[in-house]
Amino acid sequence: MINNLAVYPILIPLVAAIIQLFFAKNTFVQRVLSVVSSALILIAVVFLYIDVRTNGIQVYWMSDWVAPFGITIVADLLACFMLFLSALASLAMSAYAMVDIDANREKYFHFPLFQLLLMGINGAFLTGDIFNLFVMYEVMLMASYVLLAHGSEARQLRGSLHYVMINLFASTFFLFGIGLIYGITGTLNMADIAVAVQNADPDTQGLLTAVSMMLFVVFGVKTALVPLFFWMPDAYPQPPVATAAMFAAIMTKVGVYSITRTFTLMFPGDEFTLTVIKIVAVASMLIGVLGAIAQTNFRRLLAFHSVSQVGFMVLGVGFFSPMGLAGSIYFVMHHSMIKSSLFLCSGIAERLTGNRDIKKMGGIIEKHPFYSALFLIAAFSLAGLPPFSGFFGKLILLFAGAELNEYIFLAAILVGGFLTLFSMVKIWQMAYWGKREPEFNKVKVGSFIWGIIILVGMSMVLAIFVQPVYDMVLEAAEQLLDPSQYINAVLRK
Amino acid sequence: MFSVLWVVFIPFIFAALTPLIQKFIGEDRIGLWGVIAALLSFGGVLSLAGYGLGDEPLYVIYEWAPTFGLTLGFYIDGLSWLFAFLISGIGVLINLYAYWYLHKPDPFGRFFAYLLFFMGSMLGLVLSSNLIILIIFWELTTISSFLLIGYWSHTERARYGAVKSILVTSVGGLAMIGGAVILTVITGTAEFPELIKKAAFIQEHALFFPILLLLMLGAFSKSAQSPFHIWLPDAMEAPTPVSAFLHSSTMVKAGVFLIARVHPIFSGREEWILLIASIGLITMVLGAYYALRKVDLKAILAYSTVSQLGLMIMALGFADVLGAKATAFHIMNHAAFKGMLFLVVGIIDHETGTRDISRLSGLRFTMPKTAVLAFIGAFASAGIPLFNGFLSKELIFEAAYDQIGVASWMAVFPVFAVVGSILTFTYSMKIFFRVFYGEEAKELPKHPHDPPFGMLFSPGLLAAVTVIVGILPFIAERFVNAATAAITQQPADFYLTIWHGFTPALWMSVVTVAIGIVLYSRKALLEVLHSKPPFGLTVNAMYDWWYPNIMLGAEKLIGVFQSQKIRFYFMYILGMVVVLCGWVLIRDGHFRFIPHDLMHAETYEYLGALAFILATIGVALFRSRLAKVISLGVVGYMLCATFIVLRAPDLALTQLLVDIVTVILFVLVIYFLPQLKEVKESLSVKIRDLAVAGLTGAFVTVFVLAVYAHRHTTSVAEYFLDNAYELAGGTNVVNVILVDFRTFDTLGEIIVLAIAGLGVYALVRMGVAHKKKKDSSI
Repeated sequence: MINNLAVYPILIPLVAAIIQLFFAKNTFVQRVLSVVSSALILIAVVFLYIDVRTNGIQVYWMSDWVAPFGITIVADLLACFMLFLSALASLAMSAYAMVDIDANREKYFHFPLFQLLLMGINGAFLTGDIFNLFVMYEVMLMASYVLLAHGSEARQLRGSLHYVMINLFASTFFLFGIGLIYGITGTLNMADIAVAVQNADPDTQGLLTAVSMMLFVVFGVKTALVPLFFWMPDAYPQPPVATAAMFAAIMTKVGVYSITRTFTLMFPGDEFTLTVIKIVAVASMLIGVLGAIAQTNFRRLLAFHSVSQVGFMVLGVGFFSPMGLAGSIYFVMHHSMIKSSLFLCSGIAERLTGNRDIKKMGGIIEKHPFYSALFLIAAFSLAGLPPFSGFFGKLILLFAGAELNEYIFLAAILVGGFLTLFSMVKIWQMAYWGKREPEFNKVKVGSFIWGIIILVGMSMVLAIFVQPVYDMVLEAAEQLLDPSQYINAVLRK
Repeated sequence: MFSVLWVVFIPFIFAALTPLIQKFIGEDRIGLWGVIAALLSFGGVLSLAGYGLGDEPLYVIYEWAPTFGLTLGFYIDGLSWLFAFLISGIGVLINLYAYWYLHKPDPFGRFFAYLLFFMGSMLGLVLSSNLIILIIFWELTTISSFLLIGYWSHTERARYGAVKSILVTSVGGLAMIGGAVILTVITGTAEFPELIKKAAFIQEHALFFPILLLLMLGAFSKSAQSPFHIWLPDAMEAPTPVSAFLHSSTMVKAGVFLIARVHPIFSGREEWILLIASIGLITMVLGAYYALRKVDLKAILAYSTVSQLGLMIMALGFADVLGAKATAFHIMNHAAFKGMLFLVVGIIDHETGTRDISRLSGLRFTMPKTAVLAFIGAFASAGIPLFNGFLSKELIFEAAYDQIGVASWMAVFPVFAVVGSILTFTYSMKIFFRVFYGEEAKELPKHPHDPPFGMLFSPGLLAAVTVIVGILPFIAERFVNAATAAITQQPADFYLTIWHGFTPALWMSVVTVAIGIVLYSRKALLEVLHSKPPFGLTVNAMYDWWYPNIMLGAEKLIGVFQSQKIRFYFMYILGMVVVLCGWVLIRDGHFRFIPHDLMHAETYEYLGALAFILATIGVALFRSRLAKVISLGVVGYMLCATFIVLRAPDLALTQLLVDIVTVILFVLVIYFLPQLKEVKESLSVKIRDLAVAGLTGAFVTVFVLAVYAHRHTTSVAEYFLDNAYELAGGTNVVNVILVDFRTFDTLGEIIVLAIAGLGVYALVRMGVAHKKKKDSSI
């Protein structure tokens, strides 16, 4: 069961970044390498997924130290899905970045930093060690911080300063939590922790629950749940749009992934934790989207939506049923495709109008109907209108809620959907409608939309093949709800 | 089976191909592409007539997502076929009319693509056998309606109308999804034929009323029932063919269709009558009243549509065979005469440049052909014999009259049905006589004349249907019987005739016409109706208040979280941690100070701890940066001391080095930083901050102590100690952990440092580059 494939998603971007640094002056080689790296990861992930499906969870021992003593890399179905999404997003963003990133950023390590970000993200999905998860978060945080501040403009530095301070502050609690976990269980391996938690005496259980809540807050900051989302809407409008899209597509999902992992494997949800998770999720769903409604800056509006949409995913975890978790994974997939394509759309609109404020845009559909149609599909998908992927994401969650008789959450999902539609309609009528004879900057829209076409196309695949996709994510969800599979694979029981 | 897919998907395929075809045949002729698509679809519907008018319905399903009860299924019975017939048939006429109606610089291709997209969605909606698929198509009609209303998006009103329509109808749409999901979960199916079989089970279920209400919210919002009716008048900003097609003859009847579709599942309980018949009744009267007050011809027709939809829904609410039959007949008749009236208004607007009835008069001289059409439409709408509207309205009167037998309070139905009809009669007369009689209007924006044949053809055909059905109603018998059978799930075999004898319904009609004539001819009475609105607070005003205010409110709400002050951000994080974790600790009795073996500390250890604490407080309290840094240094050294006490000299050494370097760096950097600003804080702020800090400190202390009391008995550390030399060949266990056991962590940290290095380099260099650029630009 030791499988080299499992480390490739970490190794490939690392190697690519190092090679790119050697070609610091030759940005063409860097660009091509970015695309190649993403494509290679994608291939590796597909093979890894096939392995996991046929042979069960795959494990790799770093430096050949046996679990729980060394650091274990673990690829289960959920990790495979997340890796697939990160590879897909990075492929689309690399394609978009081919034409988007300005020469100055290219010269100063945009591409290697992007690859290292990818390495951190993939590492977070794969690691089976809680301290290593912390390290991967650090890699991710550092890379994303530099990508955010890249450009050294005053407003960038301001936005990114909050970002890094808040995230470091949260990391402190992460470290504190890890220390407490080690103190109670004497181990850092997540499977081993799970065993220790199962065997803990009742008196210790409460302490473990408290620790798990601390981790929830930490991941809540990282993934921007209400009321911990403050850094995000200021950070996302800063970087080049391809980077922002990458953050939205996959970086916020690392937090969702960590929450899922924490509350299925290490600290299986009990009534208290699940209630907390569900309440926070609903608060995010509703307050996040209200935040979006208030904005007129295209990207800030989208950033607020991430707060709201993450709530839907976390709500699925809170349901803690096979269908709820499957819905959560489906929603993650849908959202990473749709939200990143919306960010890319906003980039084109910014280029066309030379503005970020939708109040100052208008009439895009008159000149660019095809691109406008792509935006509209993505926007309605985000709002959960049928027959797009967002509708099915919500439908699965609605079914999950109805099966558990949790009707109040059904109402929250529907209200959240309505407000999302409101904000999408707001963008559409202000930026895309409105003028009969608009004047735009000269932009070769055709060369920008390929990334969007890939992503929107993939989301349509999710929608049309909802049953097979659901079956796949359900399998992952069932694996999550049976942690013994993970534990046995890692600890060789 | 093939023809069902053909009917539904031909419009979609043609819509998708529109941009391409437009390149070949030119924008001017793209309308013909729309006509062809509609004709092909209509042909498909005709080929299914055997199922629609026969006894055996056609039921085909393709599996899609069985977990969610989703099948791509189609069910063709009298009801769905009647709708499909109307949609595709009128679709042909509308496409034809629009071909003449549109003119430059409107983008033609987009219009016909939207129109076909709508047509496919609407056909899918009525033909689907599955509630969830129906909702999918339902939302597609909402989307296409949104796009069509906003077709002239450069006008403020069009955007307003489009946004209003999508927001109001999606409230209902979302409610419907909720209802459908609950229904599917409790019954295990979303297929109408299956649901009908389980009708008894559903009607006895505890969630019967919530499900019904949720579904009906969808139907009411789509069919513009009060209080959701507000979107329809504003939807009139769409080009007239759209108003005729979507907003009078087809899409707005989707709600009526849904009610008819679920009739066999839900009707039978009293809630059905109370909910549906009452809403229909209220809407019917209110709509007719508003129609009477309007001067814009399209607004009159919009409210008139609202009112007529209310009439149909009321009749369905009676939950009996006669009501079903009356509705089925009225759906057909209304589609014909109201669609035609809209097209006529489109002609008037097109040829005179205005739709304001206070400016229009005497058009019979200049537009005689149009006048004939308008006459037929208005009289059918008013319910005058020899026109189709009379027949179906009389059936509804009959059904309403019968309700008196069910319960005496239900006498309100026939009474108010007559009231509504009187108002309807009056505004119908207004439409015709005000516009076409009287002095010939002068100073119109355009010189009026009859339109080209192409624009007369479609309304002409509908007018012919209106009159022929009005005189020879038996033509419609098969359609009505098949639809009635589908709604009630009982065989229906009625005859439609003009003369029923002196029935109560006839007297109701007589009263309607008589009072209507009086009302119309007495200016004073009309004035009373026109004078003042009945309510100060209208639903429209509520919408207009809500729309900007939800944005303002949201902004305020977000301001609470996004204060842009990092101090508050930290407070939220600390607050969440302390509240969530602290609550668990208190709940489980861990919130206590446990004096156990920790108390065996030496005096110097206590002193060290005290220095630690004092130095930390110092960092917060000192005013100057230098003092803060030095204080921070003391904290670091105390940490070193702790490591020494815990017998980890190499850690202490590392910590010492880090501390020295940090302090030196800080001191160097401070030189370049601006002066610290003195911020005066009020006492309450200080107390609050102290409380947060104090609580956090106390929480962390208690937490650590509690964990220490429950610390592990075995740990991985033992393995490291035992095997460091033998397996990893190192004597310093910490080093072995860093470079061997957990070397991957170290790799990660090295990468973090590398990124930081790259980042600093890039930031500095790019900053320099920026500066240079700025300097050179000056």
